[in-house]
Amino acid sequence: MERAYPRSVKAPPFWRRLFTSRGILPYALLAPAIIALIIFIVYPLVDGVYLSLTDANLLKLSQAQFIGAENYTRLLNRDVFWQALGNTVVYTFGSVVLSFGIGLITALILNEDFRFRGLARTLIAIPWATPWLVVTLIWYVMFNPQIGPINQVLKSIGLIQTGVPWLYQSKTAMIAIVIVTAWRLFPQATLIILAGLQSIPPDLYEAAKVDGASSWQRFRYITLPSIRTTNLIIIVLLTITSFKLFTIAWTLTQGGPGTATTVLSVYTYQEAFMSNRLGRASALATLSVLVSGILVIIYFIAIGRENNGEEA
Amino acid sequence: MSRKLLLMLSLVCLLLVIVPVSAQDDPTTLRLATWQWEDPAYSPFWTGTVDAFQEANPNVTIEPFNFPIDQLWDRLNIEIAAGTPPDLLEVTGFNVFQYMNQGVLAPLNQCFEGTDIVDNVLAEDKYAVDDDGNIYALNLSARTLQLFVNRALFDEAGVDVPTNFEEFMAAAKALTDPSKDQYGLVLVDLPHSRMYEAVLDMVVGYGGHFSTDGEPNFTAPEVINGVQYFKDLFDAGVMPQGVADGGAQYSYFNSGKVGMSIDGAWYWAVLQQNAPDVAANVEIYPIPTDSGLPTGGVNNLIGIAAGSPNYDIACDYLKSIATQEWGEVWTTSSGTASTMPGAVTDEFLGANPWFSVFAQELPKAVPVAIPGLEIYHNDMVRLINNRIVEVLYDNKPVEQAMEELQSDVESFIEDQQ
Repeated sequence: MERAYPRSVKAPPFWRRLFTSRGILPYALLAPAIIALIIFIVYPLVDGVYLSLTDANLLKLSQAQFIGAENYTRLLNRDVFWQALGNTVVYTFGSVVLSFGIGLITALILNEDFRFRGLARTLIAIPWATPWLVVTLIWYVMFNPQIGPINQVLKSIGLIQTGVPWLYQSKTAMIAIVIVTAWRLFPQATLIILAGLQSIPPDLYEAAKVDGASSWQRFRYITLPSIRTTNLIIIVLLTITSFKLFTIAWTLTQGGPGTATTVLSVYTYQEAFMSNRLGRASALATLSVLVSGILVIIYFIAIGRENNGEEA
Repeated sequence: MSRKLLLMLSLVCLLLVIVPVSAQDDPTTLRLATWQWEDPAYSPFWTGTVDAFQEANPNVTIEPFNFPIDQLWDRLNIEIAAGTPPDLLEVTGFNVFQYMNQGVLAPLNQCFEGTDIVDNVLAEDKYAVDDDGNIYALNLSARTLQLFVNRALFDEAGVDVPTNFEEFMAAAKALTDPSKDQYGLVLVDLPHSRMYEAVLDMVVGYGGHFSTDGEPNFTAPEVINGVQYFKDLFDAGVMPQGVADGGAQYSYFNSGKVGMSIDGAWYWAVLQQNAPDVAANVEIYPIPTDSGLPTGGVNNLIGIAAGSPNYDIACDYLKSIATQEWGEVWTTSSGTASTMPGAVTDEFLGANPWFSVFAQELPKAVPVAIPGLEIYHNDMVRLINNRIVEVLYDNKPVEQAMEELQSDVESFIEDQQ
């Protein structure tokens, strides 16, 4: 609707009105970001969902036909899908618990005053700064049954007689990839928790000490509640990272032995690039996005509750 | 007739004469997908044939679409998905069936019409030919796997070269010495196409395959026995554990601390180059199984992409390389057998006596891809390897693993339909 101006006030020229707060200027400023979002996020997402409703094959993509929800029903009826989902849950849970636990302990240590603390804080970030692929290569050698240092150490202290094929046994493969993932992720937790710890006023600890609180009580009743929001954020971030991880499981075990480490990302890759079934792979990817979306919603709800709690 | 009309007609006539000539002379670029362009063993063949073809056809340029084999297929498949595949596709004896089945390759019957290629090159190995007689690729080479023996270690242990399963196991045990980190045998024992073939070697050694009359049959006695034999070798500690791929297998044998390896003719050049001292002691013998049959057959082929706008020129290139002359170049430079008739010459065998076992055993080769399930080869290798690893490392009983594998494969095939 045309804006009405009093007769005595001269209306600004059209071009100026166009670029005022009620004109198109805000939209013009947002446009590049929105266009980029549409091209790089929305379109691939919508196209991926559409592909999941077709029988698209990588080698005859132009002949893809709409088949409705058949890919989804087939997936949901296959044991391997549920195995992959179960493996993903175990892998994610294990990685998060281990990396968060180590991160919390190392953050508590690094929060103490000791010599070379600055150096220790720097060194601890090394795994985090190492590319995923390099991490897998390092651990591939570490776990090697013949020459791997882990087996060499275990042999030298007499715990094992022959090298354990950590990556190739069903009972140890998942543990191995969880350890590798936690090793790569824990510094992220350490640094964020450390930042949270440093925001706790020292007065609280001093007052607690005066009141006779033990170390455990100070940790239980001061430290943990003070970094609750930080912990929540890092746990959700670690969960999302672990849930979508592909490199570790693919490079170290290729989803094996059997399907012991076939997580959803590996299963999706196998469907897309080994079996060439793009439609099925897109359905898997869509389901993964849905699960990730649920995690993000939980994250926002939890953050909202924390904020409301703090405001109250 | 007005002068104007006359002028126009003259122009039209001129155009009619000029256009076809210029079209014929238009420069054409063919793209050739291969993983061997920069491989010293194969580049003499590829660069030689391409240079010769370009010289004979000055308006044609052939550009390589060259990547290492572990990267080529993903890139090639993306080009195919985008509708811009290279005109000429070098494929393996394993994935050619999938490409045939998915309509990636164009039939070559029209291309080979009036030539002796069908009779000469494809007569014995009707490899990439469908039930309707459509030919989809030109065979380039064939191979088998044979037994590489480190004679020095055999002499030291006082062991004879094995000729059957029993002797094979005995020799492997006699050659193994943990105190020296010495093993009797090296084979890939982690999920890899080489592990699939190593197990298949044993199954074929008992006279079987993974299918019977084109249907999966993993519970057949020959399969159970073959897998059990592989497991027995593994458990006997005669081979190192955790050998992930061909490179790792080479490294172990190159070290001079392994008595036997099963490999292809291409390994000879690798051995000469990387471990000449060990190579001096190496001899090659037929694979020591009860049936004596090796796995192998056609392994490299070349076809034309379906829908290529340059089909005719690509066809001319294929016809130009299907000769004894170029077959000899392939055989001589790569040390593997070209499928061109007469390509493995007496002169070559005289200069390379080590190759004679490969040449003799080639006609007996049992196909690596599972008969009847060729189009699913990649998936079959994955499914089989998954279960074999459970047998090797989780000690799952062979019968149980093979029953589960049978179920895996049947479910997989049902899912495809």
